[in-house]
Amino acid sequence: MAQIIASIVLFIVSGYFFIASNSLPEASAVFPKFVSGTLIILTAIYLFQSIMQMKKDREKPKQEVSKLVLKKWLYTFIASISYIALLNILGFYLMTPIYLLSLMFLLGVKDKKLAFGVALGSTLIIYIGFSLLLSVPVPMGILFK
Amino acid sequence: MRVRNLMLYVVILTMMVFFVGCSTASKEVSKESASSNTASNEPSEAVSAYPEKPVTVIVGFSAGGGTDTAARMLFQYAEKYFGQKFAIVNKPGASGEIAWTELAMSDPDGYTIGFINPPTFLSHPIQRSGCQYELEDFSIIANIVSDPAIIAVNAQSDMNSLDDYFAAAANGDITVGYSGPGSSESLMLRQLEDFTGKSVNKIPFDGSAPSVVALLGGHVDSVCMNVSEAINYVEEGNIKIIGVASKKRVSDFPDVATFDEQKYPIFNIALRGVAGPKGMDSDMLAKIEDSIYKASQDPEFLKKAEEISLPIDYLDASDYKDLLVEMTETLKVEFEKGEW
Amino acid sequence: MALDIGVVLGNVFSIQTILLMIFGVIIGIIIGALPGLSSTMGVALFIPVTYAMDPGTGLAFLSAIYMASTYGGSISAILICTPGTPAAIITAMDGYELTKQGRSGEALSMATIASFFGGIISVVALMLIAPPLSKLVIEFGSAEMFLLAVLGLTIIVSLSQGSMVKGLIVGLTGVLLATVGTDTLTGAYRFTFDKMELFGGMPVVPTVIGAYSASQVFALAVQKRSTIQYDSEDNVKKTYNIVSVKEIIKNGFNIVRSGIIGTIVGIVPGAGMSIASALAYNTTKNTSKKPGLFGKGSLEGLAASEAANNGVVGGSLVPLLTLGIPGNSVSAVFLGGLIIHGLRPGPSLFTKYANISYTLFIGLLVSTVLMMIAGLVGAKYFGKIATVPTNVIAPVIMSLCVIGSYAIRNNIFDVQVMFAFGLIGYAMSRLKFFSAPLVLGLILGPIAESEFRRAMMISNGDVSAILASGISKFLFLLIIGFLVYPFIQEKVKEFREKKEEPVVEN
Repeated sequence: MAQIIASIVLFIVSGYFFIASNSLPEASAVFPKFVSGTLIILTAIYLFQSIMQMKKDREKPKQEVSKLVLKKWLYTFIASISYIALLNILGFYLMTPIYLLSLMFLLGVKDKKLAFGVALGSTLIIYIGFSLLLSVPVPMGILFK
Repeated sequence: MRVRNLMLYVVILTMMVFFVGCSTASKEVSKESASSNTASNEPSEAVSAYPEKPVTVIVGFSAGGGTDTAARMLFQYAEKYFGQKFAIVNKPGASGEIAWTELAMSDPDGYTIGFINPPTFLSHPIQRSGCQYELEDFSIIANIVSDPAIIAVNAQSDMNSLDDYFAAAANGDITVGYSGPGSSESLMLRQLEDFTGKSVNKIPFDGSAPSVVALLGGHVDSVCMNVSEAINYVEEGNIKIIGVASKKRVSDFPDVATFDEQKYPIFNIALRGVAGPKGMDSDMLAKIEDSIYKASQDPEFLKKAEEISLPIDYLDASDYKDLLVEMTETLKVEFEKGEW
Repeated sequence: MALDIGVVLGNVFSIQTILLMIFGVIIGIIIGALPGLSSTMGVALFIPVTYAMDPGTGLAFLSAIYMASTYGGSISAILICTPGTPAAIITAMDGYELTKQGRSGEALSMATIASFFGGIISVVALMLIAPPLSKLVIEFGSAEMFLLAVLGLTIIVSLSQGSMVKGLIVGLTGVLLATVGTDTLTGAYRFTFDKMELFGGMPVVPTVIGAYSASQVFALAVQKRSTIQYDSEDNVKKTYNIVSVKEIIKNGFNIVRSGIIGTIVGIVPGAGMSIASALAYNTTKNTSKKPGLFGKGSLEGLAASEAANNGVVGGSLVPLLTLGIPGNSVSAVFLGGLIIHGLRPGPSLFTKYANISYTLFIGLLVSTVLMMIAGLVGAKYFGKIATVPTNVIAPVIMSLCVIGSYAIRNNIFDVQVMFAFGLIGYAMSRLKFFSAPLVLGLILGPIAESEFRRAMMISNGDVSAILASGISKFLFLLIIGFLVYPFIQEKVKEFREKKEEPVVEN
């Protein structure tokens, strides 16, 4: 099933490139067209192979994705995407410890001392390395100058 | 357990707020550095106290490159006369467009300025309708570097002048390496072709270094680039310059005739200067301009600039602005004739 | 030649220089290990620090950073499958597998030794034969670059054994994504959705960080076992073992050859560490007695990749010092460092300023030794990271990915790209697609396309120009060889097995 979705995605992506190449000057369009065209053919082969494989696998028992795994994945996804979205608003040095702590607890870390230690410690180390030593700019957020 | 966690988070959050707020916030920068400080104070008070903290300089090219090196050197000396540090922030991408767009949109509170590279700086808004800035969105401060374009050939080549060059072009295929369509070199080559009625085979490269490699290896016949990029190779005796597109001969190569002297009235100069967003207080602008002027006269700076072959050409705010307006008009006219 | 060994050795072995080199090595390793921070950035950031130093010392310091950061990328690649730089993606393939097997100590120490020898070979080449090597530099025109890129791409075929279709799909997707951006040959914007951030093309480092590290974060977060390495009583002991001397000697030829490959590829301007490590890896795989182990934890492959990477360091300095032409982006910044000290690339560096350049070379040799010491000492301790619980380390890796991808251009867009590829990379790994071809396609595809078109522009459409020179013909043969050889290997193995069968049946 997943393979079918992947094939559809690939078809859409390569199809887009193929069609969008038409509005490009000829010299720029040759290569993308060639590559996306080949990709479409290969995806078709892949889809075919996957369907053949799925027919064979009908006899085998299906593997269930455990609810726990799904929950963990969702936590990771939501936490990370919020982290990135809020970076420019709240700044890196504020968001990072919050993110680290939240995700660690969500993923089941029981040892509070370890969690806080790692969260604050990592942030501190990154601060020393990136900001003090190397003067590499870091998202500061609009709440702070 | 949930409530306890929540309380812990609140404590941490508050700690973090203080930690970050008190930390060296002045070192780092973000787009939204909208500081309301100077706006709320009385204008005269804010200006006479200016500068109260470091000023950010947005540079649209990567650290270590030619533009970045020039900017860092300039501001290192300007700091001495300005009274506060200049913090360089590199925001490369889209040949500078990302940085200049950000500069145009930044707060004119006097704490954000940028390094500009005309004519590329001027041609983005003309060539690309999606460009989000134009010359009018900036307060022009000063120019520091003038780097004219040149055409160079392999040291062993028979061609020694533009006449030789275009004679060869008429007889056969002359290949010239350059930075690709859309660049100012591309425009210059087109102008030359229009002027002579002859054409050359233009080969785009990603920068001048690869094109010089190609020239040295004999894969192309000539290269179009800027004087400062060529000095090294000429001194080693690998390439020679057959013409320079400036108004007067350059001091590094007094024997090289200008295009104009050779009866080809085409000019092309890469400039590097400083600008801020429009709407900046005129006294603040004057202070910045003054520090840059003093840096450009500083003997140590000049000596260093000479060591790295940086052709210094200071222009003050009004002269620079006039020049840029003139260049914009020329570019617009050229664009009417078609894209380059 | 104004070379005074006494002065040079005095310079190199002075307290100030030694301390600086130690500092440079440590900084370099840290920079290399942190995802997103590159050697280029590292060297660029420290050039101003060298203003006050004397030229030879300053350059030795900068090159120590260059050499050490190249090695540093392997540490995070091996331990948490997070290549610190694109150069380490090949290392990550086998390195991470070894960590999972509890052999991170071996992997790290082998990487150290291989990096050491690769680096030494390239510096010796730089010292002794730089001027003749520089002739090679300019022989590489567009046709040759095109073939070199294609050669690098053939490794995709080799990596995909087992499922050619999947490997090619990933590789071609990488190539296709690389067409996003400005087409430098026509000036046209391809597939950029009018986003300025994409005008320069799909940002490579965020893509690598995303596809490898961020996707790993998801994998680690959901996996059943609690640490990166497979649980086992034995494993706790194994982690701290460093690679045995016997193993090193077995790989001696491999390492030397890979170092030479790295040096030569480094000399070619525009060819970077990805090509070098890919070529060395593929060559070693083809000549190995255990090709099946490659990709599942082969020390041989790891050694090849790391030796080649560090080989590029010295190699890339050859065109820089002799002709002033940077071999890659790091050496381009290095050029700035040279100029700041008033030095001009060219013969004068080897004659009038020989003392300065030899301070650089000998200093670099010493730093490489220091790097090896630091690596071997650290190998025991770095490996402990693999025993940290995954639910603690996964968030930390993600935050490193975030700051790493931001730090390149100070642009939040790059962080978003990184995350998007994190999701894509995770999906790919679940569907058993390999990630290395994606990055190889992304880096080598544009080189192949633009160089081919450039060659056509120069020759006015004459395709035979591609195979005109001797180098081109040689590269073409290598390409055919790399493509065909794996199949021959298979057939020979089958043939051997058939021969043995009758004996077994009896």
